Amino acid sequence: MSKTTLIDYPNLLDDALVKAAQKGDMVAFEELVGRHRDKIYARAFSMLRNEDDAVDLSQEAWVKGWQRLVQFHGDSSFATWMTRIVINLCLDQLRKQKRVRTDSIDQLEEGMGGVERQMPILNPNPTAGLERSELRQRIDKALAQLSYEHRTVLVLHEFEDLEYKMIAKKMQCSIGTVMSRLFYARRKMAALLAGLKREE
Amino acid sequence: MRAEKWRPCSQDSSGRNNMNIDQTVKLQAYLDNEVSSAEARETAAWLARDPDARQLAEELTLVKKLMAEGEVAVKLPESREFHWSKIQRGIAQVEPRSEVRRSRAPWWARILGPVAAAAAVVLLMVASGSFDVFRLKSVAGGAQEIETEEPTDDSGAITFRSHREGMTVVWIPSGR
Repeated sequence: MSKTTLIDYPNLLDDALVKAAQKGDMVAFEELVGRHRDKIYARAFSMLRNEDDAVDLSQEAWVKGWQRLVQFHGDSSFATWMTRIVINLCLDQLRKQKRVRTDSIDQLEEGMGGVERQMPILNPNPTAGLERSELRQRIDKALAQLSYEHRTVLVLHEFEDLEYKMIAKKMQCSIGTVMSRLFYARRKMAALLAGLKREE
Repeated sequence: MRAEKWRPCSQDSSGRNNMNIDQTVKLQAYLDNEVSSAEARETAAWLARDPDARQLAEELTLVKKLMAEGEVAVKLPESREFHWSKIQRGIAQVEPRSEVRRSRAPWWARILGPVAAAAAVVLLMVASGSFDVFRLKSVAGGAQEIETEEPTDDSGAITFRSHREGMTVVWIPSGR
């Protein structure tokens, strides 16, 4: 006589769900999607700044996640592993977009030294007294105004805590380029947060 | 870059920062803990004697600190069910899951599987009356030891005899 075991998926930890999904359990994988879908979408949106593209790429990331699930050995959390997948997809997408457009003024400025280096240094804190949610809104608004190279390097360094070397590898550029992009991005952010630079 | 190469950050009459890019990115790397301990000591010493560099360091640190406050909470603009249905379709299109399952079969199952299949084929041949397979009047290395006899009537029976073992087996297929 066969014995049926009911699995309480919502109460399982990620590790257990991943193990079940690795054995082909789609319900376990659906639970993982349910838990982390907002985080994966948010990362895609922070890099692409386009809702439709972010939805499509986060969906694609989950499909790739399922395909590569056997390669996940728990070296990081499942959420971190999935975030890396969506970041790589976003970078591919951004590279494709870059190929079909001409150099932006931002890139030209970066090559010449940039206007950011010439901006006066800000002091004191232009965001002092803001509520946390208000501050986050302001940071998000400022991020949206950066070029994708500057935004990406900031997201990878500040939100994903990646080191210069890893960022360079992901963005397929030199560490020197990462350092200069990060510098310009921070200076621009400082100016935007202080309201010194008019919105584009 | 060595600390001696750092020059005091100068600003023009409009307050613009004229520090060169090599200096600034090195300062930033120091703030991000991306320099060696020797470079860190040199940069710290340079910061201690240059107020302009300190001011820039404060700004970079401030942005870093503000970013650490986190991101705006963004939610997926579609329901869980709808999102999952699209993912399911995507999975169905790109990969038959059987490939993954096969790779996870234990080693003994991967070996026994083909052996069992071959045995099943032999048994089927026997059951279907393909007796020629067993028409071994002699077997290499044991010519006088093993004999088989093909059926001589409609019963389909086959006899296997081993002189060494002193054994005789008569196979009578069912369904005859």
